[in-house]
Amino acid sequence: MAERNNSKMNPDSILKVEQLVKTYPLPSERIFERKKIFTAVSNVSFEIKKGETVGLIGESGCGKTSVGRIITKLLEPDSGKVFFEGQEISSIKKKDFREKRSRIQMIFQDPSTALNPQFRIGRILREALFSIGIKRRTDQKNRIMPLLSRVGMSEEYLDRYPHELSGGQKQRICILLALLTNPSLIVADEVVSALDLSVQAQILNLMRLLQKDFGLSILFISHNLNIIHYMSDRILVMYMGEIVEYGPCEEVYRKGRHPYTMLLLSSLLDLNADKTSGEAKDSSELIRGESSCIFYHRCPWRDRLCLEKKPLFAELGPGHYAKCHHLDIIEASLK
Amino acid sequence: MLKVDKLNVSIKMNKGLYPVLEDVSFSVARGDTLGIVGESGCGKSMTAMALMGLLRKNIKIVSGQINFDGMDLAAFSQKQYEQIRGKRLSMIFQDSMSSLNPLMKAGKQIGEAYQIHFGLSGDALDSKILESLNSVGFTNPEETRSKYPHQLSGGQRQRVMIAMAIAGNPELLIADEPTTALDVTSQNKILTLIKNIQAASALAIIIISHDITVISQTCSHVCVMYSGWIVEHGKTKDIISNPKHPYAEALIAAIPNAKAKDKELGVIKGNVPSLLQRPKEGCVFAERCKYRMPECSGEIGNFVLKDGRTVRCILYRHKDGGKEQ
Repeated sequence: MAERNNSKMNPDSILKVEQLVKTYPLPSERIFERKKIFTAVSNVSFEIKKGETVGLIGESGCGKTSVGRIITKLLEPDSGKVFFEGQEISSIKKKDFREKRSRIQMIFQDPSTALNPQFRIGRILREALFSIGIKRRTDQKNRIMPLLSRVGMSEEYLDRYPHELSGGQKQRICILLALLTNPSLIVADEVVSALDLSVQAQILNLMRLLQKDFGLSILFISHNLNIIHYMSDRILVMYMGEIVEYGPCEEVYRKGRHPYTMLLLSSLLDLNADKTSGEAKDSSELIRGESSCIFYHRCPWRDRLCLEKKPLFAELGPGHYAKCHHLDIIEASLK
Repeated sequence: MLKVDKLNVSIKMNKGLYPVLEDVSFSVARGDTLGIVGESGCGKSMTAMALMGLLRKNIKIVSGQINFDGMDLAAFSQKQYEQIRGKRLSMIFQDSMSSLNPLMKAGKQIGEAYQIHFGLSGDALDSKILESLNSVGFTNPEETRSKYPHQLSGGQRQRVMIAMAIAGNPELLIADEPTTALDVTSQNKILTLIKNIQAASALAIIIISHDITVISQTCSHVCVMYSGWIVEHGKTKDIISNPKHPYAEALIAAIPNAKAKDKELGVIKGNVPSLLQRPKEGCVFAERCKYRMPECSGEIGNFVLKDGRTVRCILYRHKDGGKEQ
């Protein structure tokens, strides 16, 4: 079985996600109403190569965190497959996932809730090692100490409680915690959005440095385009559960052509009141036509075709794709 | 119209008196937008609260003046404040979810402002509510007025808050992190809305944010705050393109820049000091500053440079035409 899965994966990619779907039931307003469902992730497919940082950007509620959680197996997808290091991990049992778990780590948004407030830092770190079977104190220490200085902390912090550390220091400990089990892939979910600007820079620098040194692959999830651009080799743009555009970092940042990407880019650069930006609709409010374009309601270029037919990915350049019917018109309008 | 002069605010804690704002001075003219930028804990919100007379009981204005249209707000009692708050000066808060009453429909909450300030009721009130919802960009005000806050999105709630804040036709509006909880696309909508309202009514606005890009897009002037000090105050353009104070310089270097992807981000060593760790004498930034000199532990005044900006750093004693204020 493992052999067959292996052949499906590109040898230089570490993670491959295929046709991922995740839905949640919506609370019903009347008792006998038919159950409504909300599609958080819809047919998401992508790959991450070894040593690559892939940025996943989208607004709140677009499903980016769900994708991160499915990859780390904290959430079960409705359908779709996740391949990691040649093995399919979406269908295996939690118990069997144990050994792989140490290879995929997640860093969360809010470091103060990610650390157990009742334990000292040292114990939190040792517990992580205990869980992967490193039980001798000296072994644990040998593992922790060299990493501690790598994330810019010193030994004295091991005796402190999480609340005695600042936000940046806590995030450093979370990064250390993720590195401790020697992972090859890290899912970083909004790691700096709770931090102040000067501390944010420290953490971003640290992550770039560690990635180079440890040869990590990172899925970097954020809503901030500037940070995504700074960190990533490739960018995936997500809107309401779908990836609408993806490609090499500079290509998407400079030549993003999906109307949603362009909206994000224009929001970033200037405040142009005349721009058709469209109302940010509450995602549950929108009627999701199965067969229409996901961005239809906000798109300035929409027409009948977009309502009747769902666009497929069209190539814009090498490795750069966008899901839109009107890429030609958009391109022409920019000239 | 508003002139804050050497405002000092202290907090009473553990039987000690700790300064949270030291010699904060700035002014805003009618139709002007001033930005206040800084990291968390630097005193931005404290400044806003002091202006609005909303300081908690253990926090006191020790000295200084808040001159608003000829009145000194620093000496105002709560009674006096009630006369002008909401009517002549108004505020938008960061978290729209917790600032709106969750049990009251949006329309009624806006209506309250009109009832209190203008004594409206009945049909006159109804039409006023619809008009104000319309003016903050709701295309279907009839529907919006009968919604509860949790039925609205973050951006919509923020617009309801704005409608409430401008109900009394204020002369000064303070917006404390108005877009922090919002997505980039709705952030733009809110900022554009605030700008449009200002253009229509010559309102003076103070925008408080930790995000320099928000400030750069909206404000003509900016105060950079650090640990209770305004370290630099001047034209936004000047400060962003050429920051003078070492803290402002470091802060701007820490923003990921599209042009310099391969460069490391600028980093400020250490953390913002807490109230208890704050140096009692000398420059508050000295400990993290890369230009630190022995003089930094002495008294630091404000220096006005040739181009009109004020910098609170001893480096500018003789540099760039710096003159002590």
